[in-house]
This record gives sequence, structure tokens and C-alpha cells, in this order.
Amino acid sequence: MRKITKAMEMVATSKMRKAQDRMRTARPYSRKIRNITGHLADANPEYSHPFMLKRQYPQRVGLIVITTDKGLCGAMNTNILRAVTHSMRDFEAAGIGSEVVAIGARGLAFMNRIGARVVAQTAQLGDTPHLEKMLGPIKVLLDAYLAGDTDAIYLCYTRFVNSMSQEAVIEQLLPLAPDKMRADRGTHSWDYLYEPDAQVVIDELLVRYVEALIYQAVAENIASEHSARRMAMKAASDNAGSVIDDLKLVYNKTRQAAITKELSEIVSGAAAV
Amino acid sequence: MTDTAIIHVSVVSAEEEIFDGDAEFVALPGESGELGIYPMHTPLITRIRPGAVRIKVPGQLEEELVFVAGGILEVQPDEVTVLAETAIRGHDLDEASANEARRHAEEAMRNRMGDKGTYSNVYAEAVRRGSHVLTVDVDSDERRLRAEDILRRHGAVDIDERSAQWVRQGWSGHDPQATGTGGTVRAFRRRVKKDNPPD
Repeated sequence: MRKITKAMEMVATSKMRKAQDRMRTARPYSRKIRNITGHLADANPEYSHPFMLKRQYPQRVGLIVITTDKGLCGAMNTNILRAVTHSMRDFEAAGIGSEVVAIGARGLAFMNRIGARVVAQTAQLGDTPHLEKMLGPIKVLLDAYLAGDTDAIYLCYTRFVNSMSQEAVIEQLLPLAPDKMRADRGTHSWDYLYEPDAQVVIDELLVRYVEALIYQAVAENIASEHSARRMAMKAASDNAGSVIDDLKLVYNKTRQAAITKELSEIVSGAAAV
Repeated sequence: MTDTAIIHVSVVSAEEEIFDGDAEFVALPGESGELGIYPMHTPLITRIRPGAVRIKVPGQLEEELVFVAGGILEVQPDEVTVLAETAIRGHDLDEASANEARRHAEEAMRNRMGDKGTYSNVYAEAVRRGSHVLTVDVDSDERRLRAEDILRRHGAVDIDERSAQWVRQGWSGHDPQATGTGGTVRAFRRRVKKDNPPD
């Protein structure tokens, strides 16, 4: 048993490192879009986009719930699902309905069990997630947002803090926070030439930005998964060690008791003689 | 040595960096024709079609070819960025994707057990049929596995398997008025302390 958990621990470590790399390579894309839209906003201050506008009286929210497909990763899924359930209860108490996009088999099974409204789902993304597989479900939610059927969208996933620590988080995805859409460096005086026109370009950029943020959360969740699994396997491995020690102790005590019993029988027998 | 003007070219997708380096010239498949970008080009943002991005790297005779499935091009005086798609997109393709996702989800909701939703109806039906229902709340996968193992060893039947059997035999939902061999549902909970293992 210990060999299996040890092997799983080693596999999880290597998968964790690869997942961390994937997390890193995903970042430049969203950073570049943020910079471009930052410049665009400076040059076109009068233009606003539905993705950036805050809704006065929200009635429905969408929750993108990201979990793993497989288990044996400690309390990782339990933690994020608990946080999501609390949020859903809070929304309900405020008269706000919620619907779920489930990414990952564990969360999907949970949401189905509790009777949540699951409007789109995807699972079996594997260790190398492909944005392509997520586009359908993402569009379902973005269409609902643009049509006014959903007033805010939250991203619920497990943040990779470091190789020993993961954190369940719920972050607002839409509406986008205007101050987070700033360019890294200062403004410049020129404006772009837009083809075909500014509105079409900004629209496409913002949709891709939202897609990129969701992809990053999925990539990060995978890194958290492998790190959590590594820790769980290590704990199981250590536990197996202590169970083996306990069993040895019990065996020795039992053996000793049997010897003592035999001796005392012989001794009492001898006394009788 | 003559100083050739260069621009920095970066091709990235949401998943990864595809190309990052200097260039004397970049050619891209623009929406309305081939675009050629030299250093000090007017700032521009436009879409590009699926095709090859040709990059003339300084000191190299052959052009670097990067194939992209379309995307968005940003040109600054000394920097060119291609935000590449990971797959071919299009209004109709995206729409079809979303419709399939919606259909899939609606079908999944319809297939859910009992009163199109929660387990409470499945539990009630199990009691009506004369079973005891035991649920165990755990806070980690390790404990869940232990619990499942213990239950299985003592002959418990998974309620998902049992209710699937009912559905195959024609069950369509719990009827609170129906009589059965079991009693009425009584709920009680036992809290198992963490330092008090059930075994």
C-alpha cells in the first residue's frame, strides 16, 4: 500500500510542475489584452462595453464552478463546493437566483445532487486543458449575460498558492472591474487605426479576455489538484507507515501474552505435581 | 555594420506563447488581404484570418512561418502582437458550440432522478420500499473511501444503483401517497466526532 501511495506522490509532483508551467504560459495572452484594452479605454473614454457596466438590481447570477474529475486530492473539492454552496445560500437570501456552469466531474455530480440549475457543463479536460472544449459552455453564460438573463458571473476555483497550499476562491468575472483593465505602462498620445471599427474590435477583445481568464482558472485548478493530491498521497504514505508500526506492536504484545500464558500454565502445572 | 530597423514580434494564444523574437518584417493574412508590417508602422488593431504569419528574422535568409487559426493583430511602432486563436472560430461555429452545450445541459437536467432533482425523493422511495437509508457526510476523499468500504463490507447497496434499477422497472418518481412495505421517513443524525473513528 505504501509503495502505491509513494508512486502516486511522485507522479503528482511531476504533474504539478508541468501544470505550474502551463499556468505561467497562459498569462501573457490575458496581460496583453489587458494592456491593449487599457490603451483603447484611454483613447476612447466615451466608449463603454456591457461587460464593464455594473447592473443596478441584480436578479440572477452565474457561477462557473471548477473542480477536478478525479478524487484522492484531500479536501480540495469539498472546500470549493462548500464555499459555493454558502454563496448560493447568501444570494438566495438576498432574492437573487443562481445558475451554474460546471467544469469538472466532481462539481457536476455535486450540483446535480443538490438540484442546482446547471446550464452548461464540461468534464474530462485532462491535464492539458484545451480552451476549445470550454468555448460552448462559456458562450452559453456570456450570451445570457449580454441578454440580461444573468447580471453577474463569478469564477469559483482553487488558487495555487504554492506547492504546499491551495485556496478556494470565488472571484467576480463579470462585470469586469474598470480599474483592473489598466495598461501596465503609462498612456501614450496616439490612438490605433481600427479595422473594421473600434466597437467590433473592442467586443472581440473583451470576449477573448473573459475566455482567457476562465482558461487560466482551469489551468490553475489543475496545478492545485496535483499539489493537493501529492500532499494527500504523502499523508496516506506516512499513515501507512504508522499503521504498519501499530500492527507490529500489537503482534508483539499478542505474542508475548501467548508466551506468558503458556509459561504460567507450565509453572502452575509443575506446582501441582 | 548597418543598423536594420527591427520590431519585436510576439505570437501568443490563451494556452501558450507561440513565438517571441525580433523581426525586420512581418506578413499576415489580414481580413481584406495580406498585410505587410515594417518597423514604425502606424498603430493598428485588426483581425486576421487563419493562415501563415511570415516573420523575417534578422540574420536569417529563410522566413519563420507560424500558422495561426486566425486572431487579432495589434501593431505598435516597435512591437507587433498576434493574439492567436487556439482553434478556428467563426460566428456560426461558436453559435453551434453554444447550442450543443445548452442541449447537453437540458438533457442532463431531464435525466436527473426523482422529482427532476434532489435525492430526497429517492430516499423517501427507498424507505417506502422497506429499506433503511444511511447517509454519511465526510470532509475528505480519504474518509469517503473508508466510509464506502465499510458500507460495502456490511452489504449496503449504493442508492444510485438501486434507483437506476427502479427506473429500469418503470419507476418515474416518488408518490408520497403510495403505500409500501416500509415505514414513514424519520430523520435523525448522528454526529461522529473526528477523533472517534467508526471502525
